[in-house]
Amino acid sequence: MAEQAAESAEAGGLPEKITIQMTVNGRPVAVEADPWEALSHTLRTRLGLTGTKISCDVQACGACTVLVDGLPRSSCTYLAYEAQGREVLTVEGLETADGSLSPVQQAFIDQSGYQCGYCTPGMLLATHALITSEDADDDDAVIEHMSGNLCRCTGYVPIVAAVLQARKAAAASRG
Amino acid sequence: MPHFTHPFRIAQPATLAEASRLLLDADGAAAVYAGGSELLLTMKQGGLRYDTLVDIKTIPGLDVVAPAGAAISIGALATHRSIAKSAAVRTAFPFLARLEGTIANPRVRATGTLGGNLCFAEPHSDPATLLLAHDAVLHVSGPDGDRAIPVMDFTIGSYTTALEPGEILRSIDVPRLGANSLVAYQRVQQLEHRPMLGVAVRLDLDDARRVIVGSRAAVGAAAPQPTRSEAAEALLLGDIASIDARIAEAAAALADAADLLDDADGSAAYKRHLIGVHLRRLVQGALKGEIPQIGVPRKRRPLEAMIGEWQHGRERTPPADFKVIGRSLPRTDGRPKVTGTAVYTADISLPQMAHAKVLRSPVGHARILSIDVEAAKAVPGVLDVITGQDLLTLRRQLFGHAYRDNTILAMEKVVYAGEAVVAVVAEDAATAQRAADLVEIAYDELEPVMTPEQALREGAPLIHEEPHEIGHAPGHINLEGRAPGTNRLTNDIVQWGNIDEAFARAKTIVEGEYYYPMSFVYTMEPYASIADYRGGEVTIHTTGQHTYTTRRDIADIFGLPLSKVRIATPYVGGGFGAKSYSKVEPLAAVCSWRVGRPVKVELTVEETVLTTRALDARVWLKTGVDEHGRLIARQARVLMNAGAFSQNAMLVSAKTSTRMVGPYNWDAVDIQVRSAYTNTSPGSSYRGFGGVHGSLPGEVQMDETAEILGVDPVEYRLQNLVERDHEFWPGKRRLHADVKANLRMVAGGIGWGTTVEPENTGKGVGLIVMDSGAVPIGRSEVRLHGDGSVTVLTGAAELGQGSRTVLAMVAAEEFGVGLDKVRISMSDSGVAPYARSTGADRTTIMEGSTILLACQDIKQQMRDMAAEIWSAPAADITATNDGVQRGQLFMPWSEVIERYFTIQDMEVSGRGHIRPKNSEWALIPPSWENPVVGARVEADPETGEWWVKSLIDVADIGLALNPTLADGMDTGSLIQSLGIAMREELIYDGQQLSNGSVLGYRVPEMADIPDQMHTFVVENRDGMGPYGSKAHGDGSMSVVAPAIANALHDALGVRLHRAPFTPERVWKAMLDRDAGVNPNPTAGIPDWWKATDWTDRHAPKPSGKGH
Repeated sequence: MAEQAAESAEAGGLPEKITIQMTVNGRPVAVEADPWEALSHTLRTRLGLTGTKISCDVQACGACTVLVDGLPRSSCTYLAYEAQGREVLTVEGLETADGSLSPVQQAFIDQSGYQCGYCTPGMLLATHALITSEDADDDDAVIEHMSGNLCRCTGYVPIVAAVLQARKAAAASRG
Repeated sequence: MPHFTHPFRIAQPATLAEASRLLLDADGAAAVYAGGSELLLTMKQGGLRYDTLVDIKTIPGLDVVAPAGAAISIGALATHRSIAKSAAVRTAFPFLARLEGTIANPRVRATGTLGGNLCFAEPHSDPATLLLAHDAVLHVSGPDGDRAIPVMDFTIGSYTTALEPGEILRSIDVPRLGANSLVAYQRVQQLEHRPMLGVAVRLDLDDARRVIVGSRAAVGAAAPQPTRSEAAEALLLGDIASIDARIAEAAAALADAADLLDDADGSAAYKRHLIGVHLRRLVQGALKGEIPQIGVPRKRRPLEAMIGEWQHGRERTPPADFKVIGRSLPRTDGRPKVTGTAVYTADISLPQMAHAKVLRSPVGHARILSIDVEAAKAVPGVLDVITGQDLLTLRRQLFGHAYRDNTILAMEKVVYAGEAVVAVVAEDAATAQRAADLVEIAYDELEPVMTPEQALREGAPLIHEEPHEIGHAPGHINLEGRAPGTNRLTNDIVQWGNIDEAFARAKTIVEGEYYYPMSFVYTMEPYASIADYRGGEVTIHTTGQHTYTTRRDIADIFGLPLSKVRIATPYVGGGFGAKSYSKVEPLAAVCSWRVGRPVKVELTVEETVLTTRALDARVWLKTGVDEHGRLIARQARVLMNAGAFSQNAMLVSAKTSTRMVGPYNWDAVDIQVRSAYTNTSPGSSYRGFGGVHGSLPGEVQMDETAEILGVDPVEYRLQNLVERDHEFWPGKRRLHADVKANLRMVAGGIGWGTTVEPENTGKGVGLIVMDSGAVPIGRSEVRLHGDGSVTVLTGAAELGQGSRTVLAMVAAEEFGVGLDKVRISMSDSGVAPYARSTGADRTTIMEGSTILLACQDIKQQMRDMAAEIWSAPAADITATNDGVQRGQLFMPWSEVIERYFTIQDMEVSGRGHIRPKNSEWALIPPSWENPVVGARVEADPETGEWWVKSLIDVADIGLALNPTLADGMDTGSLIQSLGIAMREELIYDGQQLSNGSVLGYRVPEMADIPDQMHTFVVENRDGMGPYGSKAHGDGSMSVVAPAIANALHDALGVRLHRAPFTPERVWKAMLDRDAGVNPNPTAGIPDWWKATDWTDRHAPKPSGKGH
């Protein structure tokens, strides 16, 4: 088996393709993929959703964060086939149906919670997952949760301000 | 790269028995795939390779957490997140829940499993250590049936477990604790993914809860495997009233039992010390019923209060004399950046685009004997395999704006581990990478030279044997320090007055040695370029800050006219100097030139740090003070490690010499900075360079001097600081700032002299003046359209600093339109006029000035056009910000254009430029930047851990064109530089960079931010930029480290001369303090400097005016 796989790789032939059926940003998608590819590759290269960014590529920086069934995942080390039958949310899916910005997106604009913008898609999704979770009201949990996403420009303080604004908006909408 | 390089299969067995068979049949070529967080990470980094992953997540029931008799059974596939959230676990084992809830990050916790963690047995992971205290039992299934393994027998070494081939972990049983049992755990962690120590303890008390009748003590993450110590456990037994007397001995036994590692995380001695501290705290805490947080024992201020105060501190009244300027208008790039539609280089795909991967040198210094590319070329999908010898037909094989010493691909020899040697171009990146792995290179290794001390000693191996050409833009860089035939790259000297005479006059002399670390910028976006070289011209989309100098590098390589080279810079994911000048653009261009198709080169972060890092500085500094307490003399000797290619190290060296002077009234200054080529990754720009290097020694020694004189450090600075408009530096621009007032503001902000700090908490300040703004050269074009809207063409790149917003605001102000009516170009040499660079805090003041001039040019033309329309002399017509006026007559811009040109959508274009000759920009520097930072820190007096409570600074900015963006620069730079104070340092282990990745080199994260941040924005409209603005953005970066070092002295009485101030260094400084070690021995110019003096036969001319 080892030789076969190595041979097929070195001969350029890849293992059989698979078809992944999943929901991406609310729309059902069927996409041909390699069984060994990362979800970030599927999203960026096969689906053209380049909003998901690649930085460290080893699940430490958070730039490639997407939500799978509502939980944040590092799409750089999440195998695409695992998304079979699941719901994937990327930055491109945050706008509401009428094209207006989500409360999280609006909070990042209002608080200037970004500069270069490269960490922003991951930050938005991490915030999105946080404010709907039971951790949202616990400051220590907020810091712990958001510390998984690195930003080099803002010094984080404006991002904290954006998270608090989004948290308030989420609490208000829950009534 | 967002793809694994080597394909693997996924097997999805229905039962454990089937999974077990698959593993056995594969004979080591298959691995169990549970959560995969550690496995896939390691495979992606090339540390492991399997042909098959056996996905056991499809086997039902393995992820259940449920009571099982006297234990709670945790399914091997239960994720860290689900365990942390499990009500059963939280109730029975609160520390296990906390540990699981703080592993790595939320993404890893949602995916990674406890079972996977235990089976991977990564030595720096901590669950196994706590489970040792719980006597957990692991249930495994295998070809020979099921068995139970106590956790103590499970992890038998680094990455090694007791699992036999084909065995799979099924569940972890954690026995419920008796009513009188207490468990506690603490982790010491300086890197998010890597605890450096875990200590776990269990105490079983008798029914009266007075005697410890059973115990467990374990240590992990500091040794190859988690370790229990029965000796330590025995010592813990006995009456709790006397436990304190037994803990130290127990801790020593625990440390003895573990094979403590001396490694990058810390010395074995420090880990031993920490075991003592934490075992005592855990035992005492557990007996008191405390359940402390895992991690730094810091109590954070409520976030609402912190943010509320920060927001309140940013409020200000907009200036009445402007309509747009001075307002915190939202950035123009907001919507694209929050919707994922902002395009960065890596997002661009071109038709027929191929991908290149690079094979890099594994050794630091070697001749290339042969390169065998045949096997790589034979891989289907490979288009070309390129070596340095394939570039010989190019006009140039080397590039560099200062010295042309940077190879595109190594030629005859390699000069550092990580240098690009071979490029493989293929249809896709994974194929290119696989083919690159098949290239065979034979090296004849030479003696490597890793430090400037080695490089500058007499007879050192020569790194660059040929003298290189001077580059196309040496600019104001002093080239006289480069001595061909040696490894010396720079020798920068700032001198005035008579230093010997001044020291002879001095009543007090203070000396010390200091070190600022080698660092890595880590922009979130790694380097990427896409080149399309066809039809005799080349277009490159790239991640650069210096669009136009890169254009010239490319033109010089290929012998192309500038008009045939187009460099287009889309949104850039952070620059901070790391993206200044050319990086991967030449490589992408030669790849495209070879294959005749567009080629994309995307580097990983690991490759990015091997392309450029930032320089370190070893500093000896001496201060002389006269009998009145007046600072009179500053002398410094500085060695910097420039790395294998000069890149911008020459300017870093020059700016270190100038920025080491400080805003004090010296009678005599004698500063000398040398840098040398070494066989390390090339050193170049990083935000605030020279300032960061100069201020740590300068401002720490200022505090040391004040202490020796017995005066208050802030008062002492106030006595000696330069006054506004004083020419403190002979021949340079007078200081257009009131640094004393700025210092008073910051000192007040941290409660200097007014609030008494609690124990182990302290305050410190640091300040500097920086000659900012780079070369004052640039031009812009502005078009005013017939409908009154405006297009601005500027070469400045949008790195995140907000140039596209602020520069657009200048045009909007000048033409009285809203920001929504202004469009601004991206930095694109095919479209926009020349801009010298984007960096050195120059864009707002310099490009902004050119835009202002271009707007004025349009207004002048409008007056002439209105003169014709009104048949009146132009002299009678004035241009307002909305249109032209003559007496009571007024005509808006659109009407002028329509009536003059007869159609509505014609336009008027204006141009503006600045240059350093014969203009107000002639005086150096274009702008002084004078940051002041104040810090309050709290420290743990036993472990040396510390955290920042307040970080306050001044932005003396002339006028904040957009206040939110302006002080946003400060918040960002304060936290960015906090990383260097806390833990950032690139480490070379022999010829290899040992921590050049995001896992090994940890930048600040949100948890590091202080409880209080504030920027005092000072607006005196006293700068050269538009409306009196001054250079801004880098400044505060420079003085965070000394402010913190000084605050740590205030808190603990320790002197820190070497950044980062890791907890271990603080601990050692406490030992030095207790031993009475003098941090300021008077030893004179050190030997490490004198050993470099043999090269003085190439002595440069001193430059009293700096560069």
